[in-house]
Amino acid sequence: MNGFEPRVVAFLCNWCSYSAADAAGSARKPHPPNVTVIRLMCSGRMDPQLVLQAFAAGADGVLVLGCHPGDCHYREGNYKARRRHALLGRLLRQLGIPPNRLVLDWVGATESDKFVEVTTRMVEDLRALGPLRGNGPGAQGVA
Amino acid sequence: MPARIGVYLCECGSNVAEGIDLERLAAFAAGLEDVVAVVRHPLLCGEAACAMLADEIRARGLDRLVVAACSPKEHEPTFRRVCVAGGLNPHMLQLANIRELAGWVTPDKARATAKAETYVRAAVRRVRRHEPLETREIDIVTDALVIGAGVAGIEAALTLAQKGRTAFVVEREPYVGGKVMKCDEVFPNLECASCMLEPKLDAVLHDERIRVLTNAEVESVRGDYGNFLVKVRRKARYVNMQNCIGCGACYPACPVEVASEFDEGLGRRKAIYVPFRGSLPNVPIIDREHCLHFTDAGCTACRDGCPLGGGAEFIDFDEQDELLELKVGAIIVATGFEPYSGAALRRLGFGRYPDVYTTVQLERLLNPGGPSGGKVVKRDGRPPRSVCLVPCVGREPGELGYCSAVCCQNSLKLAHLLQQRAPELEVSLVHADWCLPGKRAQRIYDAAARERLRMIRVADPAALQVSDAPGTLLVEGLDPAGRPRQIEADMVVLAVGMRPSAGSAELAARLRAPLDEDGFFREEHASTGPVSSALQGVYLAGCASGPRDIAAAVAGGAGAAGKVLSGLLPGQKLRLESAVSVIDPDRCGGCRTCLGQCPYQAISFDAERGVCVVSDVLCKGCGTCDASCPAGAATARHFTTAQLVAELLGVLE
Repeated sequence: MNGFEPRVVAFLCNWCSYSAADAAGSARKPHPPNVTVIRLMCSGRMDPQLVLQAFAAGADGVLVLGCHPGDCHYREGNYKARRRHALLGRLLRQLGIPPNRLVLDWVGATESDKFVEVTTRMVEDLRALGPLRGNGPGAQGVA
Repeated sequence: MPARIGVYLCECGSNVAEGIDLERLAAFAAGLEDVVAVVRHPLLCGEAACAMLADEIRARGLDRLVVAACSPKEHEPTFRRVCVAGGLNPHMLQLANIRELAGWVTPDKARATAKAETYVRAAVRRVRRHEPLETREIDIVTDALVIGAGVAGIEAALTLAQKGRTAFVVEREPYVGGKVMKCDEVFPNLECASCMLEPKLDAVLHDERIRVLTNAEVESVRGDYGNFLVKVRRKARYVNMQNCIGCGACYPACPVEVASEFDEGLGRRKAIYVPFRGSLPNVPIIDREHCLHFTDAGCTACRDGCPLGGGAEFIDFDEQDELLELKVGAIIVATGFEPYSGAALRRLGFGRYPDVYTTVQLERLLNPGGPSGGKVVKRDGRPPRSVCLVPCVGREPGELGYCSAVCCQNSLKLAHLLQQRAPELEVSLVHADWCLPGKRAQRIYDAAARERLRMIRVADPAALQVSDAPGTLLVEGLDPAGRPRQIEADMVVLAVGMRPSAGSAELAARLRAPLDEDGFFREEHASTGPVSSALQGVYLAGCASGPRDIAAAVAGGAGAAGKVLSGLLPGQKLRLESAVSVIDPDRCGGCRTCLGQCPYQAISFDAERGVCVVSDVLCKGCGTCDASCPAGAATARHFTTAQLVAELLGVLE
């Protein structure tokens, strides 16, 4: 796995976690360039098919970051995300994708350090895990 | 016809230009599908640059715009205005955040540039899928419904009327003024409650823009913010409110006597009665459950006693409930509280020993209009020699589970009033941890501490017990050092906390407004949205959302009315959020999964068509319905699956 650079898609809710990512930027706190952010209004918008499509299209990992429990801008979207995440993890296992390739976490608007920490850890974990070769012809399935 | 996308790269002074190779990025963007123009600019958010951008849109015939610059949270509104100025729908824009998410956080310039390319590609892919969204406006009603005529509801109604709005005030009880009317004097200023409230009660009953409906309840609520249709049941009073002069001659004539609810069971009332002397509106009501005319057919004693003849124009036994339909734009819930009445009362001997009272009962005993004419007496009619006030009744986990924040001050006030009325009386005040917030409470405490008052500290108020001994009651507990304490008193008064008003759950269901875990109406946000509910157009005042003192309740009433006054403007239409969800009726299978997902009760089931429907007034665009819809019928506009997948594939290409 030497030199393997995982590709991570991070779905961020607009109100807390995206603000944290912005704050990390303002403070010039680097996060791994392997992580690309897609903004959602709410972590509750995290549609299982978006996650599956991300894996199908070559992501090695997917991060979903929302507001802390109780802090959701839409009151309870993050709880919906948590339930979906739990179910989706079981589905991923059945597909042969280790559920730890999909990480759900809470990052508050002021937690820029946590944003950096979560994204960095995700990339490190995926480096250790190796690529998810589910993409393209001749794919061997799961790493 | 292919899209015509313009990509504009902002140097942001040196902020972006330093960390990202913009020349390379421009060349990259030019190669993307449907991109017809790529322009680099030193600072796009400047006024001149925005004008230039708007001109560019027109001159180049662009139908979509990608701005690669800072965070959308910074300048999305700016560039949406640019779109409008250039003749584009504001939603035909996508920002690529190459500053906060690439340039500033990727020290290596080549990698930062590659990252920026990813973001620009994703933005171009996404914007190709963008659709113009209409900014919609609806006609509105600017009048409001206030539920509850306590201090909070009254303040709300008066504030609305002052600005010329009609306020309908629906009150379940036959009188206005709420729980405060039970008190004699109230903290912090030891003012007579009814004197203090009288001007406001008078104003609310006589203002021609306020319509007070007492003895009435909300039966159903339809519609949304700006256009609610509310059905109110005004229960038969059997006494004509226009003609009765309120002389009171019918009460002594009535042969029935029952316990008075207003006097907390300490006094008696007739079957035709006013809850208390001086209650407004000053028209009696007949208690159908106990009136002999209804129970035993035929009694007409009140009619016979009426000095005006008691004809049907005064007392009408055939009066029916009236169903009114009100059109209002907003609803203020000011339903107040009930005194705690749970298991802790029994632990403390309430109901078992006749001389254990609640603080609300003591308020009635202290009130000159109360059952004892303002004299503090026991059940046997004799004055007590000693009174013990017991704190925090019901506060423990498993009961209320919260501090009601007013009982400490109220107990100090009661102790003071007791001593004032009967200087020989021995008053003991048990306390655990004082809750004395605000600028005045400490002074009440300091004043009480100077009085001949025994203050006894206990470790845990939930462990207190009340028992009886010959000629006295015993309050027992442990002090903070674990030593047993025993207080003798022949009158024990329990400082009961505040619980949600009875019927809150039913009303919440009718309003579709959520309650919190304690059963109070849930605020939109505990700190930043305290007078709004989670439901747009429904506001909260007073103890409807939690325990409060009078001042805070009044402030909440004014605040809630302010929300109505600033949100619903006469002659103006209501602008609706355009990025809301929609459900395609042709794809919807009617499974109703989304109903439980929506945090705003914005989705309803149309039984006739068998499909779910989103109210675009209530929807706030979170998209959780879209994520949960198994049929793909729900679409979160501007965050559609097609748009997000396009962005995702742009990221991962």
